Amino acid sequence: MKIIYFLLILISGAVCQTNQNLQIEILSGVETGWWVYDKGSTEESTPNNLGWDRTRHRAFLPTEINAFYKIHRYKIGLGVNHSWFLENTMLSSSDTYFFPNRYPVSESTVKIFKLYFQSEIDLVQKPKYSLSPVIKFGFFNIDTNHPEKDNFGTKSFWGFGITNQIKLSKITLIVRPVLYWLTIQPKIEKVYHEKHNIYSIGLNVGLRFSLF
Amino acid sequence: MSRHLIIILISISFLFSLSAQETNPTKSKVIKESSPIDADFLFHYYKQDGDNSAVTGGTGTEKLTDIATQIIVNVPLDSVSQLKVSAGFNYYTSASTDNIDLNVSSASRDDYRGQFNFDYTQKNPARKYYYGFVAGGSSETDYISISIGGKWGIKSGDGNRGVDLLAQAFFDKWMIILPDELRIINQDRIETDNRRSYYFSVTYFQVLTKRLQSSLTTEFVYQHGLLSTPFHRTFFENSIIPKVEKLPNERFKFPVGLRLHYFWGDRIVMRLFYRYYYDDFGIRANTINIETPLKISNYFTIYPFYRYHTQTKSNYFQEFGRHQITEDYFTSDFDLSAFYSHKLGIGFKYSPLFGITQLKMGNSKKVLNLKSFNLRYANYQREDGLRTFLISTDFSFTIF
Repeated sequence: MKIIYFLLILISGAVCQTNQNLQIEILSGVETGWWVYDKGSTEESTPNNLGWDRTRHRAFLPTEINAFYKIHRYKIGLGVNHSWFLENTMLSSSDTYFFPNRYPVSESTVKIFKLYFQSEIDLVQKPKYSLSPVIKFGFFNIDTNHPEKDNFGTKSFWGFGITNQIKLSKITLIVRPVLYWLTIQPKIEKVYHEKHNIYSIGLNVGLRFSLF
Repeated sequence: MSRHLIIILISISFLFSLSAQETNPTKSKVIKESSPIDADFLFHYYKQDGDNSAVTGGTGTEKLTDIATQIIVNVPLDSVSQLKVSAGFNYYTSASTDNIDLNVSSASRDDYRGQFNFDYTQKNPARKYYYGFVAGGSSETDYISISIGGKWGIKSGDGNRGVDLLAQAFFDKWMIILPDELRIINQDRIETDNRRSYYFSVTYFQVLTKRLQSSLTTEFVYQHGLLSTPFHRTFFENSIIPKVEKLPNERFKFPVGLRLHYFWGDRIVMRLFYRYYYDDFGIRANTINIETPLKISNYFTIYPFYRYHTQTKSNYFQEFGRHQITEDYFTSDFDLSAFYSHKLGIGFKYSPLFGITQLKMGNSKKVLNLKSFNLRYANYQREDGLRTFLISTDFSFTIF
């Protein structure tokens, strides 16, 4: 993870030497959400009839670095995000108060590392303020003790946000509400439609600056 | 969800990238430093009680207390555009959701909800139209919701009539929490955790006379996905085992509202609102609302209000234990029952011409002005015995 952060900064810095349209941002914040394990169905036509295991609704603590290249109103870029999901237990769909059926998914927190492409468009451009929706797509790695983890296959995600850019002299304050939808497909689908989904929504705040 | 979101985002981006070409920031007039920012700090305390909780199958306590705070900030970005941002936080305790599991006073007893919204408006004063977009999100223990949308409106040259359009899409993701005793029983499983709602409204407004203003609003709402609440129980005739509430996965709603404002002299305004509601769950509803702001002095206004609502029951509703086990869809949620209700309240507004008080903000030249204070009280009673009480305040500030 540290290597990827380092590489991203290095590449960004190198490109910046020749171009002022490259912007770097560092953000952190808080999100909330949950992880649900959709156990799928024994018949293709009736999805989800084996039930859902889930975590409780808990907080995510993200930190991320993004690099954007600006072309007119559009920005494209790369980013990395490391999040701590503050949950260690998953509740089986048959978990009840008197007959608990729970299993651990981590010792303390579930760690998620994302690497992604992103694109942003400036819908509103004012001298001191800009507003731009951002869309992200990428892949992630998850550090968990989930009993099915050996069967985890492709781990991909979508992210959506609305970037509020408030210009403060040479740097820009970023306030960004975000939504993430992470999906883990099983390597071997034992039943139909089996998959894991992790949803989160929250607010990220950080700084953006041009390097030149 | 992602595919729909991407298509809508791309469409909106494209639309706004086209329209934004007309509003180059260098061409628009930059707002002067002294232009005011409006900020409203709202707080409410809400309490309800009743005996028809849907969590326990249409019988049992509905006791609930909700405390909410919200901030709404309206920032003029320049002379033709403005951004409204709101963020809110609720904390509530509910005796009825406490009955999801069989442990009284468990984690399901209280909950938090956070929400935020953006609303950007760009005016074109020469052509008398505006456009904008809205976006928002909210989160609670058992759901995450986001919304995006666009708006457009136009006024006649004299400003006496116009049309407003609003389109929004809501994408909800639900956490499936079943009643405790139904988690082991092998019954019909919930098929999806998605709910999508599409909303479109058209408002036509017209100044009819010097004293009378009117508006007509037509709304279209289409929902699909999980429209029932997974932790609502339903009990059946000749069976002691409940089932989870089940409703169709599509719903169409069609409300039409007429608003009339009559300015009765300088001191009294009559605000009348009537709404007819139709949906394909079988509910037909009529609502009338009357509010009469009365200016006691130049600074002080009181506004009593009354609302009467009546509706027919949904095709899928029956009271506790009245459903037949053979039915495809069933609910005992009294929100879908036939009832009438009364809401009566009064509000007070204190708004001196130059504000209530002013505060200089640090070393800057900016001044924070407490412009007005609103206090509102309402009491609601429903035919089935649900009683609610609401008190809310609004501190309205201007920064200039």
